[in-house]
Amino acid sequence: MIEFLTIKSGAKLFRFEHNDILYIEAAKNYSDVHIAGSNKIDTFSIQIGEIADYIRSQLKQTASSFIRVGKSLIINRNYVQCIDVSNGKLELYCGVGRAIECDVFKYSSNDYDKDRKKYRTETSPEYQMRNTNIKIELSASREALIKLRDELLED
Amino acid sequence: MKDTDIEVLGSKPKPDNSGKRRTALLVVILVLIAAIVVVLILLLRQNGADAEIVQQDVDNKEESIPVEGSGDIATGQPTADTADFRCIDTIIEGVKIRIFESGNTAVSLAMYNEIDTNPTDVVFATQAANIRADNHNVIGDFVINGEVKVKGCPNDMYRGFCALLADKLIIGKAEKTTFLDSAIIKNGSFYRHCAYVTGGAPEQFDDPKEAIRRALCLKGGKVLVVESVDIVTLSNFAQILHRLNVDNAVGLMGGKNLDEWYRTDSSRTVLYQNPYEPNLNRNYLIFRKK
Repeated sequence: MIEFLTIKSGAKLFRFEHNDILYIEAAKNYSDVHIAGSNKIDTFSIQIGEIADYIRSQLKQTASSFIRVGKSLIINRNYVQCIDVSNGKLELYCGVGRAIECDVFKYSSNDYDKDRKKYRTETSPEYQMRNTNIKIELSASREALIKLRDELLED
Repeated sequence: MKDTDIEVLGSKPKPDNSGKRRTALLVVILVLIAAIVVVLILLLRQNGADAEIVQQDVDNKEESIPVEGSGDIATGQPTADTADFRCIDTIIEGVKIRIFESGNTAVSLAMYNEIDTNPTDVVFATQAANIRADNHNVIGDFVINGEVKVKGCPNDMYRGFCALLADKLIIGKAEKTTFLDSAIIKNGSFYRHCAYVTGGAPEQFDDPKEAIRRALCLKGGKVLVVESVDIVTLSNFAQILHRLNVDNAVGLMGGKNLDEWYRTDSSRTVLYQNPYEPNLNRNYLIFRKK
């Protein structure tokens, strides 16, 4: 089931598919939402606790995919690869990335309309989908990692 | 949220037992407090009961054992046929003293406006309880024929008393005394004054003022009225009474109010002769022929 997390920031509205979110990290009064399979980070001027509230209220079925670890980290449990309690490290691994380099973006919008037939299909050589392996290493307290480990073992 | 905690977002909140535990702890504490209060109440009741017993003992305890006049008011030398009232002048410790000794007489307490204007059976009378200078009320507990006129013992000096119950005259010293209750119940009389002698022992006074002093005394069953012709202090007068070997002595109105008390002369009884308007609260001990 796909659910969307919607976050409003100023005049903008952001929608994230729940499984696109790799992890969310607090940065003082801001929160950085790290998107899985890319280096893209969306920063919001709201605290991580509020984002946790959004997740609880908006994601009815998939909220439990997210685990808040300590005060400043929310992870998507589906991307947890390694928990190193002794070193206080948590590794997230995103093995099926969707880093798209597409020449279509090299063209202006006018040109795109003219050539959309040419560039639209995935079989076009201009489309190149690359598999991107992204490995993220995060720090957390040993106590929290122990609890996280126990939680994931119950799965 | 602590750095050592984790939270699965979207999971059902675990039942917060801390509230239940807090409630249970509060109930236990309240029960303990209630138990302590009950124990304290029971202990205090027990102590209170003991205190009541002790207090009753204190209430019943007289500071001095009153001495009662025997049978008739006084036993003395006068014959049964005449109601003599002997008057003896003497000097004790350099002070002129007059002693009145009653014969076969009955003693009563009366207000000024209740005295017979022409009594033929009165052999002697003297003012009894003191009168306040400000409001002219009698000082101390005052009962006449069972009627309470004044209630209360104003201070330590007025712990002496005289009770008249039927044929008995009682002199004593106590702040609270059952003789007051008996006077009320049995239509007796009661008044208060300073106690000069208690159980044969003279009282001590701090007041240095000198005045003519008078006292109602019991000595071996005899009723005496002793008066100092010269002015003396309260302590001196007590010593003089002690020298007379009286058993108990309570004060009477003193001072230079010789016009305000009457005595029997050879032919008739001279009554109150003060030319001024009398204070209706003036009260007298009256000795009548039996």
